[in-house]
Amino acid sequence: MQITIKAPLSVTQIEQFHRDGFLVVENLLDSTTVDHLVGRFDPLFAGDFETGVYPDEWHWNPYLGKQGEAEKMTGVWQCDRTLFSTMMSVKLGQMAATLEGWDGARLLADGIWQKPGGAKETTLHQDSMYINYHTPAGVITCWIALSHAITGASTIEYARGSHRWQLSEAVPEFHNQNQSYRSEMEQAARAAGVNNPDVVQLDIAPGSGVFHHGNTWHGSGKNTLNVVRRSMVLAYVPAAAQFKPFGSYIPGGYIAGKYRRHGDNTMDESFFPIVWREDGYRTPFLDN
Amino acid sequence: MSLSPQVHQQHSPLQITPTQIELFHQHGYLIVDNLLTPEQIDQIVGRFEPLFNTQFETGIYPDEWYGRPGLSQPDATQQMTGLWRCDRTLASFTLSAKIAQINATLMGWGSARYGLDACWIKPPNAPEVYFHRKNTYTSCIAPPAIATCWIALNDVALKTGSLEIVPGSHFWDSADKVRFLHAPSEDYRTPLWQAASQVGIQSPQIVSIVLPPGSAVFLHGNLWRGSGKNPSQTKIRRSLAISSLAGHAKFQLPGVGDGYIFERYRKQGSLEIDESYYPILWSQTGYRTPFLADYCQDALA
Repeated sequence: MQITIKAPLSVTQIEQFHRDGFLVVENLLDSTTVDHLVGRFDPLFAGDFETGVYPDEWHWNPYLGKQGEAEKMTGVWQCDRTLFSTMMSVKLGQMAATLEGWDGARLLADGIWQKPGGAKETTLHQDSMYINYHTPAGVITCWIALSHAITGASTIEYARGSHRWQLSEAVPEFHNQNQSYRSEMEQAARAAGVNNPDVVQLDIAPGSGVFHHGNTWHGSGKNTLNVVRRSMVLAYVPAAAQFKPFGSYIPGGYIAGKYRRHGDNTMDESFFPIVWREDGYRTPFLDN
Repeated sequence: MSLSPQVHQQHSPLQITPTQIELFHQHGYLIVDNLLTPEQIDQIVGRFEPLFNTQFETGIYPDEWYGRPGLSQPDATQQMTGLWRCDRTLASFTLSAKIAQINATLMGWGSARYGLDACWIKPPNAPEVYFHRKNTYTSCIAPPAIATCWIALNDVALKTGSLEIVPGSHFWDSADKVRFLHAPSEDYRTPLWQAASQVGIQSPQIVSIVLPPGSAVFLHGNLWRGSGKNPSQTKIRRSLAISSLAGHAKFQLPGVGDGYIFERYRKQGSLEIDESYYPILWSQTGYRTPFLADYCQDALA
């Protein structure tokens, strides 16, 4: 594969990403930014949306939620300008595009996670299972630790090299399964002829993160420690991405499918902004 | 998306009378019996369990989702909004021209577009729901007005935490604010007491709506409503709320009002409410957003 060097990542890092299906990058965010982001979590999960706009997904709130369960919210950039300013980062988008060899990155989705002590496992899955309705294809995710992510406290884990396996059917539920959180990954590994998948649990300091390929199997174990694991997730597609042509709805459109205009394959920048493109273009409203 | 005058569909004749319209304007609500048949109710209720177990027929997620098995308290109210994108059986009811027509006729609109569609499932001991005005949640829309058809899917009675309304409160010049409605830590009627106090009413008349399955109450967007705890030990209260905006509705200027769900669908630099997201369901001219014909049937046509 021919690799074109684009700052701010080295050839070695890019090669490692393509070999393993993921790449740890340290110090993506400084400690002040991390503190500001974390400070928004509890108000958001309690329904205090700074802009008055609700998120796309809001799984868990303190009024109806069971104590100790994983808290997840997506589509947060419209709800809170503190998170918006980080989620629309030029640098993160540029890194994502660089790793994939794209000429630009479009933010498809964002998410925040908060897993308190005792929170259950998050089933291993491939992001492309849920993000497979656009062309040109491809999705890359940036997972940023906002607390110290460690083994035993539900840190993110990857099946190394699993981005080369075939894309599996969507895992239907990854918050609340009755079977092992790795079972679907292990099944995919066997189908790929891999008997002992190399599962790596990462140790990531707050503000550092990891980029993973859309086909890389990942998830997290149970939080067995008395700490809260917090993270932020950004999923990018190529800047040039459009929806594939579909009929009256996008089967499996998850959340992005809600935003397709009927009869129009455009991924509207109002909903899927271009955060970085090598020609200097960036969706104008981001900087207003 | 522009209105296309060549698309016309015939719908069942409207049965709402001038007297009913007058009653609606006088009291802020109107009860209409036998809107759905038992078979239609079974069709609707049968879709709820898959939805709350993350099995969306279209593979598209809803706009709001509270009360998720395993992640929520066992007696949590289950509410899901934006059903039409998730499930086409439910869409065939919530995008019904007839219900939109009644909503529009009661409000004096010449057309109606989709606003919100939500199921509410209150299991035994499900907590209270704050009193509120639905129009509070449409403040980023011009006109900031919504009409709701609230359909009982089983017996709605005092013993199952029925819907409570305050007749005439749609006339009150009182404030409300967007709140998380479920399981308030204070008296769920607190916003009502505050609003009544603002207009000099000491003891507002609260009416508990009692409905047999399939009957509906149409609610003015400014009418104060809420619901108490479901005191039953055995009975689940299920309802379907289908809300319409005026067909001619636009977004307010950016920054005006609370965006709630609506603002998520605003195209940058535009006040237009796109029919892909908020389709026109009924119009006096016969117009109905064309893609609906490909998407789902109209269960009440």
